[in-house]
Amino acid sequence: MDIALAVLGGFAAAAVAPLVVARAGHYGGYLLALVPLAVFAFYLSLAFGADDVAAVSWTWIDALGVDFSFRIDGLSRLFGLLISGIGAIIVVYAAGYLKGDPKLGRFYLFLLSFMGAMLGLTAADNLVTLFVFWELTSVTSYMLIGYKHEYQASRDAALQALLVTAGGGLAMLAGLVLLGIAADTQSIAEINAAGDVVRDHHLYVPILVLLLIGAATKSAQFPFHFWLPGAMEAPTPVSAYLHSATMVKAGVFLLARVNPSLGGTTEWTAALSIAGGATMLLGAYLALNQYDLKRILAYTTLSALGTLVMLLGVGTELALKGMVTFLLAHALYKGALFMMAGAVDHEAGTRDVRHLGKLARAMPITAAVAVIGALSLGGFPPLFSFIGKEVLLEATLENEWGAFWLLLAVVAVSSPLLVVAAGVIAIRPFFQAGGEPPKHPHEAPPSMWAGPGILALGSVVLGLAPVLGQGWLIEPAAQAVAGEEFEVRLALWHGFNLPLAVSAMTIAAGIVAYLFREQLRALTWPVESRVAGTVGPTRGYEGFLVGIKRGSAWQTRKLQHGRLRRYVATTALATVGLVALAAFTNGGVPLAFDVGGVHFYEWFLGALVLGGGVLTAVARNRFFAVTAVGVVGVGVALIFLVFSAPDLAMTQLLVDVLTVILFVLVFYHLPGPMLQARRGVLVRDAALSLAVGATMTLLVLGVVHADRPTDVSEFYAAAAYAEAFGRNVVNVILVDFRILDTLGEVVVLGAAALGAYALLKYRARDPEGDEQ
Amino acid sequence: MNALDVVAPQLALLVTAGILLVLEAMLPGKRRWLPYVALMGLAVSAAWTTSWVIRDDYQTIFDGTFSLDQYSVFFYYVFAGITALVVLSSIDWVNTAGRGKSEYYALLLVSTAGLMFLAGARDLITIFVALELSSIPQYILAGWAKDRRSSEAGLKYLILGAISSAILLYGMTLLFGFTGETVLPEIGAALAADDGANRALIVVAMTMIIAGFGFKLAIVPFQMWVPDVYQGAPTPITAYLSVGSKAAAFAVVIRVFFEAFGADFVSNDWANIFAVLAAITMTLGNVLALVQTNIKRMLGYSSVAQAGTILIGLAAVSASGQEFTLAANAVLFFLAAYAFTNLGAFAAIIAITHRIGSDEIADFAGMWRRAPILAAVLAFCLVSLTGIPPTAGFWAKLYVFYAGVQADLVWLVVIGVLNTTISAFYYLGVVRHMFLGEAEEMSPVRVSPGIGVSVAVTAAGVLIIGVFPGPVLDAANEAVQVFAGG
Repeated sequence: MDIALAVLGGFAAAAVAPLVVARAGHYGGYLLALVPLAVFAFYLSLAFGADDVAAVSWTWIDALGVDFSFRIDGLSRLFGLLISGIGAIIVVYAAGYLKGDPKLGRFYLFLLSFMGAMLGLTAADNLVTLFVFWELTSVTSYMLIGYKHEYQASRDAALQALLVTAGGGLAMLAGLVLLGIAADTQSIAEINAAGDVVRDHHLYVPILVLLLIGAATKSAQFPFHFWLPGAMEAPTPVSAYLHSATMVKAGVFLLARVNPSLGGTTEWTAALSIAGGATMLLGAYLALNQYDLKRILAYTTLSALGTLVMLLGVGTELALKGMVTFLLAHALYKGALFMMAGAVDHEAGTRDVRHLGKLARAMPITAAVAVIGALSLGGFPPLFSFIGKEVLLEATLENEWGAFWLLLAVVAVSSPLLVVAAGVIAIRPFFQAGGEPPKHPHEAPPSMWAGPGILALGSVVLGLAPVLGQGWLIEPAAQAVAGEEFEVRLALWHGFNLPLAVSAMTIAAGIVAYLFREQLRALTWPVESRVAGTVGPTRGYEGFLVGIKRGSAWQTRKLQHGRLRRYVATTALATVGLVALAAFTNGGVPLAFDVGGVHFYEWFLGALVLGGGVLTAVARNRFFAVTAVGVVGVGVALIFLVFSAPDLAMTQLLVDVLTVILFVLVFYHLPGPMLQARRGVLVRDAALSLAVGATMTLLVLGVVHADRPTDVSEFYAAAAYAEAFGRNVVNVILVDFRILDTLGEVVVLGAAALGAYALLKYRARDPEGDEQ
Repeated sequence: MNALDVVAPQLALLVTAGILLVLEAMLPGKRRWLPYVALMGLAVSAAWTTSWVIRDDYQTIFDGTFSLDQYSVFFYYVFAGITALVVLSSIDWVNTAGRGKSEYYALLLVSTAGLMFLAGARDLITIFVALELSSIPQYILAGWAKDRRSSEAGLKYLILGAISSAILLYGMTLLFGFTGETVLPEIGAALAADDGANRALIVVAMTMIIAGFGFKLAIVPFQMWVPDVYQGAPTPITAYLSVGSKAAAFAVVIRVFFEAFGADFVSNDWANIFAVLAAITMTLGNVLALVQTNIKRMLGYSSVAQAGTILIGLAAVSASGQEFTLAANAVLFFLAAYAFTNLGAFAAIIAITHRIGSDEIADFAGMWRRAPILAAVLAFCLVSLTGIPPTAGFWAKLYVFYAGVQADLVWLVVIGVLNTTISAFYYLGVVRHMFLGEAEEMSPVRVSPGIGVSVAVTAAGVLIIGVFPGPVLDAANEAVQVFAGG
């Protein structure tokens, strides 16, 4: 119960957030920060509590086996602490960053809802529960990215992020449903316990592919990476929270969560290593030609996400240990860097490094944060991310599979590029001269440097003394990802070994690359800009949107033209087509065609009906056409008469005469001569009529061929007097056997009459109405 | 008398319709209370239905041609609820149109009685008559507005409807010609006794029946009328068509399958037809909805697409045979969830368009400033139509997809998921307009009590079913148990 309260507390806080802000202004932010802080304390208490796992569950939908259930293990705890801890910092930071913004209340509403959704997602133990929170994060992040909705770019970015992540989420839903069916349970813990069943299931590959799509869109893996830089249109607190520390890691979380049941196969290793490696390299490279602080950070985040996915793909104990360590390290330094970028933007009025310089004097604390963050980004000792990188290198080197040399190459190329990015972020704006910021910079208010300061401090402390985080935080998380017990030991100093040597080389290469960055840019930018302009996923996404719109516009013209004549034709044609298909795929309809017993007057009647039909179709005069219709009716009535149904013939004749009279009355009011269709249309209509007629003829012949069932008329004739005491069989059928249907018909006629009366009455009264 | 008791829920509506007409004739002038009389009639009908639930004495009457069972009762409630919400949403519109108030409500009630007959009909002739009973008032109501568009809508609906009825009748006649029976279970027995020699003929009859119902289900290729009629008809009537007649058609099709076409050798054909139609219908509906600029037209295509999604459930029903009631349960749940969601969306749209006098999506820009609650409800309903939690629509889609996977229709479910993604474009596009666009005018949108109740009830329904889907699922499950083992 307390678990649910902690997880869902964010939603409760979100509900009151607008009220709190309305009362207390931006100070309300400080008050609201108490909620994530309390959640943080709760997760801490779980980490140091007696039980390794805390769980709670309610039945949600019995029929589908859906439970509303949470299960907090080591992995959930790590994420919970990050989400609530950084959440508290962000809430405070936003109070400073968005001070005086009239929409601050709404901002907190979405931000805290997002936090609740994230906590729910990482604590969920049921596949559907997980999905519900997954989509909630997509929706709330849509609101947050589009927060500055007065800007077109902001709206487009929000929609793009939503479409990519929510769309991927739906693919994931299909994967989750399949996973639940393959494992025959929806509890994630139970699925992970039955990993072999899932891996051997014939649906394994579809499940893997669908879940990968979900994870890759959420965590911005290649080729779905393009939405993340666009989402930088969001206010900086949102970028810091969603796009570095939490939401983009949800995909990584999902993969880590299902690692015990889906991981370890060749498909898994190949798919994740390739996607992760490609993203890692691409992100590190794309940061090179950027000048906007936030975009640089966004691309390096891509690179980090790729690293995490790649490590999951490698999947050894060492790799998982590295994954968890790197995840924690990245959340700490990237959150700090984003908030630093926001502070610079807030105080200097721009995030373009070309317009910034010598900020260290005016903003010493922010500069310190930037330096620590940048050193972490570059993987310098003695910071925590250095340890993460050491383990990453160790995990890459340890493996013997040939493809891992490729991965090592990826690491060796991307690490120096990240060092360049780190230099651009920290050295250029803070220590070099030049640049004319639009505003005269001051140090940011404490609310905006305290939080990043704490995160940066965390990087330093955990780097110097990793033992502080290893036993209670990293080890349980790594074990939860692996699904088995093993020991995690982290140390800053490993002695002189191969990883250290590689690390030193990459850092050295990075420093050299930083010094020659202008040359690098001159070399790469012309190619990059041309490639991005012609191919690339962003173009693909836009092309997809345009293509869909064009396609449906074309379809609308072709299919939905509004002409009744063609609608009727389509309906008739579709019916004939479906019927023909049904008949042919079932071996055809056996036909009876025997004209031996047909009397001469039956031939005559047939010719009469047929002739009437043809005359109706070719008539050039309305009255002539109506008369011809009348001939058809009379012919049918005569057929009834011949086959000894005089009452039916009588009815038919009456109805027919009435119809003709009605037609004549209506035609009297129609203006002008009958319109003649073009020859092509006439031919088409004739063909269509022939097709419909032929189909019906064949069907009738088929029915005649089939065995004749017992005669119902005999039953009614016998039962009419015996059961209902009536001699007129038709009357008895109408008022006794089928009384309900008769009632219905009477009401139908009544309703039709009522409607016609009402329409006529009011139409006559409304001369300004239409002329139809 | 027993028979009257059994059909009393329908009779209550027919009698109320008569009372409405008589009252208006006797007491001209005082017409404000007419909708409330209609609501009372619906309440009486629902109360009578409830009395049958309490009596727990389900039965068939008229030689098995009409059945009062848990299945029909489920739909009685759905239809009464739908009509009550439509009546509430109509008040403003009818008052503005200023004519034929009693006739409008009377026709609505007659049509609803027809829908209820459809839910319980288990005889070909009864089904046909009930279908006409529900349809003819709809044809008239679609043309009720004074403009040309509405007249055109009514006429198109009537003519295409008549053609579909003809196709349906052909199919029924063929089936009767072959089996000699009109009562569904007896047809089923006759088909089961057949050795398969006339298989082609049976499948042809079945196809024509599906084609005939396809008009009411609004599935491709029988969907042409939908956008024109949805756009032209008075908006409350559009809302009614989008949920009421569609739900009734699905109700009949499920019953026809379980009671007549369940024999093994036809059920595969049935499943194949529906699976293919589902794929085409979803895709075409969604793709066409993308480019719409008119919100009623867009919801028209959306309703086509939604019908396609429900067809996944129908395909799953038939792919797995008569003992597989899970998919039927999914369809019923979907219909109920869809009814709430779509009515909620339409109620909000009615309120907004009544004020701004336009149903172009572009004119909804910045609506959250002018009508925050209406905009929020409309957004919520559109999210539900997309199938995103925590809404009723999410569970509906999940359940149908789940049933599809259980029935080994994975390919169809994947198409369904892709389509859901496409649908997000246009549903959320409206949300974006309302919340992120800029309004040209800032005057607030006033909401009348009738619409207000209707908006509140539907929004609450979507949310409550979205968080606690259990009760509705149980009710749907109980309803389809009628067919279990049958």
